[in-house]
Amino acid sequence: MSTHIEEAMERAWSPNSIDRLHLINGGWPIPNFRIPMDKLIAITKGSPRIAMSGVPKGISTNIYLKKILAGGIRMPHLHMQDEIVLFDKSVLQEYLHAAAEEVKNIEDITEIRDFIRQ
Amino acid sequence: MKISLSVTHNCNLRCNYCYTGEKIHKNMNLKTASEIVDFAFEITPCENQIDFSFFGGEPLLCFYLIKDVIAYVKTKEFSNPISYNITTNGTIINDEIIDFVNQNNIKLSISIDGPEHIHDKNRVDINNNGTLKTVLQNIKKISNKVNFFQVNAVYGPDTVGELGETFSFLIENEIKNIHLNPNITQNWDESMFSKITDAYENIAEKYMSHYKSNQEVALNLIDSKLILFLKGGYDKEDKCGMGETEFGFAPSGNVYPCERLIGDDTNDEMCMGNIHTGINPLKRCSIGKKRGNSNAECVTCSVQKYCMNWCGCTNYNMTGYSDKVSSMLCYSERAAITAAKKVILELQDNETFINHFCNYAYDENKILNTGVYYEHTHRRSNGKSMES
Repeated sequence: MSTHIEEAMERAWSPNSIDRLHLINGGWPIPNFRIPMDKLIAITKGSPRIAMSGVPKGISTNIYLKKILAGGIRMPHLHMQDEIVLFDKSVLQEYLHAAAEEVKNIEDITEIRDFIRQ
Repeated sequence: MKISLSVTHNCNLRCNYCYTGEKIHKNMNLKTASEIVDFAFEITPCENQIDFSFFGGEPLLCFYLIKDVIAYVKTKEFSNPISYNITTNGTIINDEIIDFVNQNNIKLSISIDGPEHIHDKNRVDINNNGTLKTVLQNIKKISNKVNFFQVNAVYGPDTVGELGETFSFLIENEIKNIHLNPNITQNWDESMFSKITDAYENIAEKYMSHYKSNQEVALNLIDSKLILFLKGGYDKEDKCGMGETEFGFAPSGNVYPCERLIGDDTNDEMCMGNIHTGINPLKRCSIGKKRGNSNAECVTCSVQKYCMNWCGCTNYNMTGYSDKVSSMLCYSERAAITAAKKVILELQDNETFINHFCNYAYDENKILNTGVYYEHTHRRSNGKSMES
């Protein structure tokens, strides 16, 4: 991770950021980068509303709302290994483009004779 | 952890395709339900989410029990996030239920199959009268009152050709969070398969047409596959946790690996024990070992990572084996992936479509795509092995 990103993270995720987790409508900042698990745990530690837990073998990461309340992570996110990628709109659009590019190569299977199970 | 409580075998409807067996007046009692709640907290690691789902029969016939169970959950000391779901036929909804649902952030799943000639063909009351009018009235009653609801529309070989009509009907009635589910207990003749691809293509066209008119709609058939395209396929943790992180309890307290396997509570092959007497570890292990998919054909399939071929209860209901995929599921999944591919290629720059994935539905947002979010996160509960 570059120094630039690290600096950006420090600004976005200072200890005071915890207050931003508890806005009525959810108030997470919008980083365009991956957030390491330890950082998320540090930030959410002691939060009455959000809990983090790692999943063994590095498969994924769990993030929960302790209570179902308005707010929480309002952004689309993907779980990738032990990190969570939060999307803002422009990043999401990039992901959509990338995903579209990938699935474009999937062969269309619409003819019954082409199905595996007949 | 997903804990489903089938609170009653009783139902006020007699749907032709119902897979939950004979409608007898047998309800779960509070002692059994309380032990199930205790069990849920004992086997779920701290901080992991517990989903309590109320199922039936018609669970709202036992609304008193649902209230008691949730009151009991609240007496427990826990740090787990808790969520509640009720799957209902939508015919018994009153102001008391609406208030309770809101107070406890319960997610309602209401069954409605489409316009009258489709819905009333199968979803009839004990006098064989159609129920659409009542269900629709109740949906309208709750649409601006409850925090979250989705509709489940079941289609079978006899109605798959009219799936596009069902989708349009639901949209016309301002229902924006739609789950379309194939009937997995009916026999799907191969002659029906071309109708599946036609129907999904038709739905995809309608879905795209809505977004091009700047109207958002959440549809599991398309959205779940789009999420998978973004994720790069199903994670291990997304897949079926039957018998390990998913349990279904019959009114008797009998334990099954999934609520869709409870039926009339006579399936010895799938019954793992009873909440009062314990769970047979060997039985649970043997069921767990058969989770997933052992089909050689699937290994080389180009769309395997996007395919729901791992759903144990679907496989079991369709083939008799929890690890054997039916030809219907293969056709259906491939058709859904093809339809979703068309959508993402067409809508990748559509502003409303991008917002669809950016906005999350909570109390203040009635354009519901919570289902999309929920789809790829809520199953991530990670239960440790259970003691018998």
